[in-house]
Parts: sequence; structure tokens; C-alpha cells
Amino acid sequence: MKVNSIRFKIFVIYIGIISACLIAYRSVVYINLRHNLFKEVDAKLLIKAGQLSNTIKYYMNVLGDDENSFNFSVRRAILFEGEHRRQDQIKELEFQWAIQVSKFELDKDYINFINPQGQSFVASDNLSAELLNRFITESKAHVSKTPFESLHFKEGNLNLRLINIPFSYNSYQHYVLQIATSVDPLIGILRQQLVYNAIIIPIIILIALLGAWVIVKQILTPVMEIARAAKNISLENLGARVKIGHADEEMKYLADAFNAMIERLEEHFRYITQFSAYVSHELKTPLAIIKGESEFALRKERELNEYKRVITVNLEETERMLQLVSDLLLLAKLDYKAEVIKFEKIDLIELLNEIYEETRLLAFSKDIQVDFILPDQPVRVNGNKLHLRRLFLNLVDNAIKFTPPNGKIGISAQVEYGQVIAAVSDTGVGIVEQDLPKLFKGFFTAEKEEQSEIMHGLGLKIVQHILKIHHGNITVKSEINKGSSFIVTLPLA
Amino acid sequence: MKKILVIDDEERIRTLYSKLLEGEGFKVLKAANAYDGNEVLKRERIDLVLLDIRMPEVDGGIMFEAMQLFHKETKVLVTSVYSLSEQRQVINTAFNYHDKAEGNEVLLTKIKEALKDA
Repeated sequence: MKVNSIRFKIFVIYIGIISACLIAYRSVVYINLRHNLFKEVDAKLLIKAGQLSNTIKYYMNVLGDDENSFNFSVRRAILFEGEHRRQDQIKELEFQWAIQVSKFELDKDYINFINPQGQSFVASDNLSAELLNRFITESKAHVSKTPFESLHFKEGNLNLRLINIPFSYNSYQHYVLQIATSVDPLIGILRQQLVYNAIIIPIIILIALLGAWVIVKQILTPVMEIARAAKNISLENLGARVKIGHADEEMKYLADAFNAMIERLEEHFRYITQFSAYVSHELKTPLAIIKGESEFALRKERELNEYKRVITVNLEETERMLQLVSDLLLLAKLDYKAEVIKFEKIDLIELLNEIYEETRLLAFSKDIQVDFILPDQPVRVNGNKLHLRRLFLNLVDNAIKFTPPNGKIGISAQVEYGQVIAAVSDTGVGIVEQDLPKLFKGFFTAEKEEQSEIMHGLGLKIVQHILKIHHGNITVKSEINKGSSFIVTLPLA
Repeated sequence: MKKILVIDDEERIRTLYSKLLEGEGFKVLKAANAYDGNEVLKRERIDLVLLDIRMPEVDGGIMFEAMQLFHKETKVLVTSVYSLSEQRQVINTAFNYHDKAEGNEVLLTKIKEALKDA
């Protein structure tokens, strides 16, 4: 798998997200658990401290609040030892306290009572000297702030939670009561959680990894199929298409888009092939004539008139080629450089009047009558005058060509629904019905019918392309031996 | 005198070939399309037909098919601006093929070769 492949990226991102989510989730669970466990321990410690300090106060209520009674009460409550002359009076309280001690397992806890001078006053037996020192240090640091703290002792591996509670039996006597309880079971649970996380997270990631591998592979297989199919498509093989049987919608979309692109390419190639076949045929014919006539003339001495005839033929054939080449250049310009063609508001009626005048001249030699029906008002369209002129001249040329002597040509225009409809009609030979749809489609297919009134060569193609850049349209109506009308629509300016 | 029929929609080609071939001592008949060519074939005994491929309405290929039915003995020299290989794709059993751009000398050689044993 390559580092810069989509597969790798999806894979890494997917695994990254899953790992991050999983680790974040497990961390939150762990922190929450730890917090709750400590909260429970702290609550218990607070109750224990309350119970103990209350017990001391209850004892003193009975025994009196002199220093001796205080000392005894503290000792008695923490260590169950010491003597007082009225100790019988607290028997019931002591009994109650003993129950509490066993209930809260206070005998397992570490208890210390610190006097206002900061010295241990009474401490439980399980407190070693070292622990005691630590407790005293902590009391100074913590009694005024948070009462709770966690202590860890390396020696003996003790993990303790300590509470520091102020105690006073006279308003000015500030003592500190400390109770610490072992948090080893809690640490055990947390450690277990960590181990559990350390095992479960990699397992889940591993499963996700396998899943990601399968999914990514499944998603990207159609892409590879498309790529393979694309590789196999060549110029000779443009008919080939990408086939995708059971792909997802997006992949189908990709394949369809790809196939549509190939189809367009195929269409264009077909067009270009047709085009170049036509062009080479059209150029080769005059060249063959020029070559043949020149060879004919040079074969032996000819009469002057014969030379004149050959030169005239050659000149006319040269003209024919020049016309073809300039038509091709115009088509190319219309196709690929349409944006450089200048547009301006022009009066179509004025233009059609000019066309009418020229048509009359052209038609005169064939005894063709030219009629025109044009509005008096100017009709403005947004267009290029030179090209629109060319468009109508092509239509008129065609009409004259296919109209027999004494026929009629009509030029008309009218405004309808925000567009101008201009028509060039004739009383010519007409176009075979089945040729009508072909007329605007293929490059030169319709041209084969000589009896048919089809514009020669590139004429109609140029008309179409000029209309395209003007956002116009052309339709044709025709009847055999009655004539044709080419109807042009252009949007008004 | 050997009779040659030129079937070609280009008037200038018909004129050129008839002038050229008449100069070589052949009798030349001209037809602008397949219909006219067929009429000439019905009427006269023709030794060689110069047949263009790309023509309006009925192209040279169809004309050739028709000749195979009714005038099989008449030799056909296909003359077109298509390349020789393209010509063979359209008409595959003509006596010979000529690319109009090859020039008069090549054409004359091919015509003489075709008429040698006729």
C-alpha cells in the first residue's frame, strides 16, 4: 500500500479516529471511576472523623470540659485506654462507639490527634514514627485548605487517604484530627481497569483495522476496474465502455461520467474522421484536375486557346480550393475563437435589404424573381454583421443554385415572441424528406443527393455555426419539386 | 477503336479525361451519374469503364454491383480521389484502381494495360 494512495489515507484517518475516540472514551470512564471511588472514600472519612469528634465531645459533655477530661476523652475514643474517675458514666456511650468503630472498621485506620503546638497528642498504635512525622507535616499544609489528600509511602507500600479536620474544645484551642484509611483496594480496581484498557483497546483497533481493510478494498475495487477499462480504451477501440455490475451509486456515477466522456470523444473523433475524409476529398479533386490539366497541356504543343482553357480551369479550381480553405478557417474560428467575435446591435432589416439587393443581382442572370416581405421598422439583434451577412448569403446562394430559371426566391422577416424569424425560400427542386433530419446532423451525408436541394460543402455547416454563436436556430421546410424554406430565428437585442 | 466510358460527377474530370483519351486515339463517352452511365452501357458495347466512387444518388460501388449483373464482361477501372486501399474496400473485384492524383501518365498506363488483350 503506497503512502500517497487514497487507500492508505482512508485507512490512517479511519484508524486514527477510531483510536482517538476509543482512548478518549476509556480515559473518561477511568477518570470518572477514579473520581467516584475517591469521593466514596472521602465521604466515609468525613463521617468517621465526624463520629470520632462527636464521640469525644459526648464524653466531655458527661465528664466535663477540663483538660484532664479532654485528654482522657481523646485517648479513650481513639485507643480505648486511660482512666477517669467518672468513666463509668460513659459506658453506654463507649458501647455505642465500639459498635461504630467496628462498623466503620476504624480499628484498621490510622488516627492521629495533633495539639495546637503541632505535636502528636494521641496516635493509633499502627502509626509508625515515620508515618507520624509525615502526618504532622501534612496537617500543617492542609488543615486550612482541602481537608483531603492522598499519601503514598514507598516503605511498606502504603497508599493512604488522609482527612484533616480541625477540632476545638475551647474556642481558642485548635487541635487537628487526622484519620487515614488504606486505598489499596481502590488502587487495585483502577489498576485492573488500566490493564483491561491496555488489552481491549488494541483488540478493538485490530478488529477495526481488519474491517477498514476490507471496506476500503471494497470501495476502491470499482475505481481500479474503471482504471483498467480506461487503460484498454484506445483510438482503435473507442467503442469500449467501462462495465460496472454491482458498484455503489458514486462509482456508478463515476463510471457513467467516464463512459459519457468516451462517448463524446468517440463522437468527436467520428466527426473529425468524417471531416478530414471530406476535406481531403474536396481538396484532392481540384488538385487532381489541376495536375491532370497541366500534364495534359504539357504533353505536346497545343493551340493558344487550349492553353487558355487549361489555365482558366486551373485558376477556377485554385479558387475552389481557396474558398474551401477559407471556409475551413472560418469554421475553426467560429468553433474555437467565438469569444473574439465582436457583437453589436445591428438592424437586421437593413442587413436583409442589402442581401436582397445582392440576391437580385445574382438571380438576374438566371431569370429568377426575388420577392421580399420585410417590416418597415428596424429590428435590432445582437450580432456580428459580417457573419450574419455570410449566413444569409449562404442561404441565398443555395436557393439560387437549386432554383430553375424563371423561379422565385423570397426573403422575409417578422418579429414574434421576442425573436425575429427570417426566412429564405425558393421554388427549387426541394429536399427528399428522409434527408431533412440528416441535413443538420452529419457533416456531409445529405450532400450526396444532387437532385436534392442541399447546400454544397461547408455552407450549411457555416450557417449552423454562425447561428450557434448568435444563440439562434434554423429549421427547414421542403417539398420535392416545389421548393424549400430555410427559417432562421434570432433573439431580439 | 476502343470505347471508354467515363462515369464521373465532376464535369472537369470528364472533360479532362475525354480530351486526354481522345488524344490517345480512344473513343470516349461521358456520363455524369450512374443512371446515364447505365443508359450508355445498354446502348453501346463499351471496352472499359472509368468509374468514380463518390457520386450523388448512386455511388460507384452500387453502379459496379449493377454492372456485375448486366455487364460483367465490361472491364472497370475505378478512378477516385480515395487512396487505392480505400477504393478496394468499396469495390473489391474491379480490373484495376486509379487514384486521380497519380496523374495522366499512370492513368494511361493502366488504361492501356486493361485494353491490351481486349
